[in-house]
Amino acid sequence: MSGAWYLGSRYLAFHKLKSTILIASITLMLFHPAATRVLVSDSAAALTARADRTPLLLGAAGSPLELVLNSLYFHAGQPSAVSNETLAQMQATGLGKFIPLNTRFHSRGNPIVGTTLDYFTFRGLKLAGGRQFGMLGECVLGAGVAVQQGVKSGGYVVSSPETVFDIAGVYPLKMKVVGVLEPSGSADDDAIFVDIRTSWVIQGLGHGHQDLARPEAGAGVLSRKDGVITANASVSQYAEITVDNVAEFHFHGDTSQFPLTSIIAVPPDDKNATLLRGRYLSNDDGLQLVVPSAVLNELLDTVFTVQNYVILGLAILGLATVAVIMLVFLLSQQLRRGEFHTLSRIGASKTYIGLLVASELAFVFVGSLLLAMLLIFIMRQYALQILQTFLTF
Amino acid sequence: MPMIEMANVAFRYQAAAASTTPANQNAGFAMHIRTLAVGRGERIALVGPSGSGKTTLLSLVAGILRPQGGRVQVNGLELSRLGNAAVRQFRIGQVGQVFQSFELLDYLSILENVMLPWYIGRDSSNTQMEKADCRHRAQTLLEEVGLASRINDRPDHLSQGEQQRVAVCRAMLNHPPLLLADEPTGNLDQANKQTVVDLLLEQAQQNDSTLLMVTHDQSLLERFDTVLDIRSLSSEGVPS
Repeated sequence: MSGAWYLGSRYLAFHKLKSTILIASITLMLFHPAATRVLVSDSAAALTARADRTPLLLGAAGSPLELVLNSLYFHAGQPSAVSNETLAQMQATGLGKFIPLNTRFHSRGNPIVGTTLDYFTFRGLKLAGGRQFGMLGECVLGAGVAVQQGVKSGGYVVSSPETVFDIAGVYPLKMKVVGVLEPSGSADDDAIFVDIRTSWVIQGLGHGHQDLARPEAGAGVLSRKDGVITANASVSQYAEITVDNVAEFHFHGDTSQFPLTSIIAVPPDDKNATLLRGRYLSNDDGLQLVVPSAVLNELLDTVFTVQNYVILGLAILGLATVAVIMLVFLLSQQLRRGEFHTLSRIGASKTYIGLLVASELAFVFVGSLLLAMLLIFIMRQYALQILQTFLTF
Repeated sequence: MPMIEMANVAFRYQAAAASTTPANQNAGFAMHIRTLAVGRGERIALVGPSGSGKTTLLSLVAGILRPQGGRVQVNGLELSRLGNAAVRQFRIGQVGQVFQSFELLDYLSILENVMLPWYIGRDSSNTQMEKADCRHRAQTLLEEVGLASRINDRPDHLSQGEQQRVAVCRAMLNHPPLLLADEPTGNLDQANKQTVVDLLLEQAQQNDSTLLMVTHDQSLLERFDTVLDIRSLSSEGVPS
């Protein structure tokens, strides 16, 4: 290291507080606009990547953004439901593969996703251990859930009631974990997957209890009339589905009217996709078929516009910071005139003194730049989580 | 050949020159030296009233200031004929300077302060000394002045007498043939005055250096070979 550079480094090291404040100010000045840009672009890339892999999404008419965010990331508000009959109608068209989703319920903050096994194939999700759900009441955990809840295959998770004050509403269902997925770096890591029918059981549309037709269930019968058995309040429902009681679980009502949050449509080609979209062009039937990437791009256009304004504001703030730093710097040069005079009398040239000052500036700016890059690197690792946190609200 | 020769040297501070030397607030001050010759190894006390140009004389001899007329020759080099880089090289290699207010850098350790001429000279290739040799030389000097145990301390942890001893070590780093001291005892108590003057004389003798020291202290004059009153050199020498 040359003499001037060495002296510059010693000056900064001696004036630790001053150097730290300078470096922190410049780091923040560099970090904020860059971080905003990186956060937005990384998040946009992550968002659109999942959306790009989801060709079409059908849901109830309403906010397309809410439908997409809920169906792709299991966040945001609950869109209105579509009926199971819609799924059957779509399947009847033969225009592709259709995967139902029911994302209304949670377990300790993790979304419970009612779906079919096609979902795993569609998303390319692989099991790290165990097996896929096969029986009513079984579930498969995303890698993140297994870690967060500390549950493995063979363990249990319990669905959370929608509201503790609704005694006639959704009861917790104890579900057996039969498999855990490999990490996918997507929203699937934080989800609990169950068969679509299990999600209806959680919703209270299906339940299990002792068979009231049997003579030994007499205590639970309120009346028997014309072959219709009415149970009394002493009949308790099963809170867990087991091999022993699974046969006693049943659904009341017309299952074709049971609710779905949305249906992922996977047409085999563009032609089928176009035909499918044509069927749902009008919202007369209360349905909408959206292209998730188009919906998200619309959102991102707004985000990018806002981002540009934010960056412009930060740049103006940065210029003001630079001006203040330069003022402080020039004042400090005035205070150091005696020191420079001494150096000059000993034999230092103006160039040498300039180099000394330049070395201090270089250390501060390079240090700030490296620190800002480190912060951006760290932030980049958590960009998606940060975005998902925002989406939770 | 004398160490210092000056003949018909005319100097007047310009406003701009004065602004670059904060120690001098003498814009417009003029001096004229008819003749001065200082022999090698001589130890001279330069006296005179305040404002008579003692510091200006030292600055002319060190090549910090350039005269408007006349000749300044030091150790065979005619300074007025040297370019800026050569003058700086001359100053680093051949002149050791001790100032009244010590002028140590607060952000460097004692050892680094002594090595400061090396840090400056290194970038302009004005020193051939390796860093290890320079460090060894600085440590030796500090040992000689009794500060070996303080080499990593900061200047503000030392007493004024100790700080001036460090400044003397810095001046002696490059074995300069010429040692210039501008009121080095001005800020010291009596005991430290004696110590610092002893040190300067001892170092000058050890190194066979010519010592030119400005002082107002009459009690120190008997220690020098020659006492020179600047008024005897100058035809003007009073602030205009």
